[in-house]
Amino acid sequence: MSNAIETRGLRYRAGKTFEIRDLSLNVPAGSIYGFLGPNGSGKTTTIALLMGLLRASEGTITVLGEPVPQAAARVLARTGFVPERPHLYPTLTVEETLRYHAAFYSTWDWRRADELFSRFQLDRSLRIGGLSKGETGKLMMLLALAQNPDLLVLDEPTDGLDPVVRRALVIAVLDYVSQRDAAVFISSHLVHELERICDWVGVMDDGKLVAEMPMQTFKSGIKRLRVTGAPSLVEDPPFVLLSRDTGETLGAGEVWVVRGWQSPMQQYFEGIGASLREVVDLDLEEGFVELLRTFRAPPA
Amino acid sequence: MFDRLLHAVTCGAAVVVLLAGPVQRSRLEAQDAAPYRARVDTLAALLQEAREAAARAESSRVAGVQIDSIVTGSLVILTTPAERARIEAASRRAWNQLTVLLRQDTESVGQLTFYLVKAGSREPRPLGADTIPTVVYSEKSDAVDIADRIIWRLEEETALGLDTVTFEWLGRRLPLRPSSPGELSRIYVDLATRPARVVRECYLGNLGRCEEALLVWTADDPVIEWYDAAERRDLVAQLWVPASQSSDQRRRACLDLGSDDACVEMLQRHWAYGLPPPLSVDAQRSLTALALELGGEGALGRFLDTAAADPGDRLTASSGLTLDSLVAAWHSSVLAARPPQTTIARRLGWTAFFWVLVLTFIASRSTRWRRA
Amino acid sequence: MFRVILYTQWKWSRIVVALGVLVAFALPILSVQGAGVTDPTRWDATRLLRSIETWSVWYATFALGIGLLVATTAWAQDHRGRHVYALSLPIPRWEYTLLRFAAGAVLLAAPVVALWIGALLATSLAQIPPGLHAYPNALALRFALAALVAYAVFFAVSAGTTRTAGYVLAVVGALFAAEVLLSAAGVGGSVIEGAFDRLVNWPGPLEIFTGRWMLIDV
Repeated sequence: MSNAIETRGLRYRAGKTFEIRDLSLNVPAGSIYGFLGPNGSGKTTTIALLMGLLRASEGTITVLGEPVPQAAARVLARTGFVPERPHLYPTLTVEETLRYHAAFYSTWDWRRADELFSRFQLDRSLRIGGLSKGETGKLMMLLALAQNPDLLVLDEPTDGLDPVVRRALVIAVLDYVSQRDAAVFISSHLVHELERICDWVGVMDDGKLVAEMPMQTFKSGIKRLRVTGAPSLVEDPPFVLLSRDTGETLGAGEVWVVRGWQSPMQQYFEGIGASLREVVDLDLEEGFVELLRTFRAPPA
Repeated sequence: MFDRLLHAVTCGAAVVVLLAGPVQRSRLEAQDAAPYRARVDTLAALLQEAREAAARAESSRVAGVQIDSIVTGSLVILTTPAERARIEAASRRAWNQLTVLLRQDTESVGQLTFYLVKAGSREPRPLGADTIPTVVYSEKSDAVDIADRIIWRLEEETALGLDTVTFEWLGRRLPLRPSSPGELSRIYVDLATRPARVVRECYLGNLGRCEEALLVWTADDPVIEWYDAAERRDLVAQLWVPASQSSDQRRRACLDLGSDDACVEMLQRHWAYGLPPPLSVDAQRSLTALALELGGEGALGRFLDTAAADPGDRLTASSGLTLDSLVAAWHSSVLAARPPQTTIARRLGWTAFFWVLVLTFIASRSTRWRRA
Repeated sequence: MFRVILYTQWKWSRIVVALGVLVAFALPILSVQGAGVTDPTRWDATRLLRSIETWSVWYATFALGIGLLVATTAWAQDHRGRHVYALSLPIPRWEYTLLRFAAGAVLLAAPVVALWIGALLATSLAQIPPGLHAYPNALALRFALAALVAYAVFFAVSAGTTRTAGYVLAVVGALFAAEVLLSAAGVGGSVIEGAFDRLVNWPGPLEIFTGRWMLIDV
């Protein structure tokens, strides 16, 4: 099994205006896959499809080698799932929720649960409905990790949480992955949060997968170039020119944002009579923004 | 206005008579009888005059009352014009029922003219309506209810033509309609539950005892023949008698010492204070209704015309059956009307269980496809 | 797994069940007290039966009510969370539904047993007139079946989606509309009455609610 999650030609219509179209995802086994996209781009809907909560109108889904939704129960037994919105029963206490949840998983690890319990400093006697947002987030993460999953599917797990809790959750995930060769599929619109932990990235926008590549490629391939003396029309560049800003305010030439940059490509500028003054690495967030800008720009 | 006048005159006359009595009595002590009698005659004449004045006032008032008569077959209904529509429908319904029930016997029941009046109505009775049987209905009564009341009244009127024994035996109403399943069910309950030996034996199929329980013929000593010792003791326990030394002694002997003789004596002495009949009058009525039903054409006429004063003779004449056969048929019809059993029939249980399974299956098909 | 489902359902419907147990226990005792069987006027068994009969409707209504409440509480929390938790558990939907159904049925046993004990107690304390008999077992069995049928009906409706509930409502609405139209057109017969007859007469699902709910009978 090379991919923990694999979808082919997935299609799902939600409402009158939004549609997931021709979605083909590949989440490599053992990877931490960051699933990026602005709000409303279709991340949560995609995750619901992967977990068998929604039924795709076209396409196939394979998770941990099993078809979904046909084998959803078997897949869910090996998957730790943290949905976007808290879904636990508000009238149960934390302790009751743990016991309830544990009863459904043969792989449940009470030792891990207790260890996470101490680390997250949760109160077992509190009602779920009375927990703070941070406590709820911790509990959901605890439930997902204590079931010893082969795959973690986390839908915006840190959204709305304070930095301390965010950090605690991220550390818990990384600890788990370091102990067990599990794949993690984590969606977020907080790009910088994923930058340091993900080794693969997929970007969604308006129901489509815009890009999917190793994080390293994504980060290193997107550059901001400062160029002077470039002709107004450039032909057949060896990289993808995402944007070209001739803004006079910058003073010192044009700013190009490119994808697929490699150092030997500097010679290209000499060939067109231009001069490359500076190559700047963009962080994931800047790259993400540029990527979306290109994707959304009307075709020339 | 006329109402008030009528009441004032009548009440005034009554007051005069009531006051005159004591006054005259005090004088009576000092006088001889002749002048007193003359005074009484004068007062009586005054009262008569007052009554006549009231009657004249009433006559002049009712002369103006408008009354509609609704004729449906032989049924004549008198009512006010305002109520005509509702009464007409009821009258048609009643007549349709009567033609089915009585067939050729409509003449046997005689009077088929009724005056229908709404309860609480302030309308005066029309002239000549005093002799007409009145049916009172309520504001809420529909045609079905009014028709039912008309037939009920006819049943009461028809019973008036019977001899006193039969009249009382039927509880002053001759049933023209067959007993309903509900009525028969209630009689079944009576038959199964009345704590009287005669009823118990009737229930078990002793037809002679049924005739006795139905009071078709009177037992020589009902206290002995209808009840057993335990039942007599229970009866005495519930019997209210005026307190006296002898009755208290007998009561104690019966209840505390268990003397059946004392119980028998107590019941025989105090029969008038409440020895209950073995069955309710509904049982007698249901027997009569069955006789009329089985007798077919002319059964009612035969029941009413028979010269004999004995209910048994009337029943045999109307049904065309011997009393034993008639009572046997009655016994069967009552036993057949046993209320549905409380115990759950196997079919009912399995049906419920089947539906639980079906509904559980439907629930288990509950889709997982929901909008997340 | 069943144990935790039963536990959650108990937690959600324990007030309903506790009240149900109280009512179920009291109902037979009150019906016998109300009929005056503890101090019987032995000569009027008919009146006594009529009094007992007036309580019939309360048994049937109670069975319907307890079935409805236990069924709706079984699903209320899942409806509130849009079923996401239930659907993300590693168990097929049909199995989850059956577990919830079984848990509710087990909880219904409490009022049934309470009614049975109440009926036994009520009839053992009563002086039942000769010719009449006590039917505590039959009454408890009828109550159990009726409560279970009511529970199954409402459970099946609750287990469905909002769309399913909409269809059920639409059918009921269509029946009423047909009734109004037929009435306006002067056509005889009642659609609603016909539908009701089908439900309460054999082999309809609600037949168990009809008949005699008599603790004491001939």
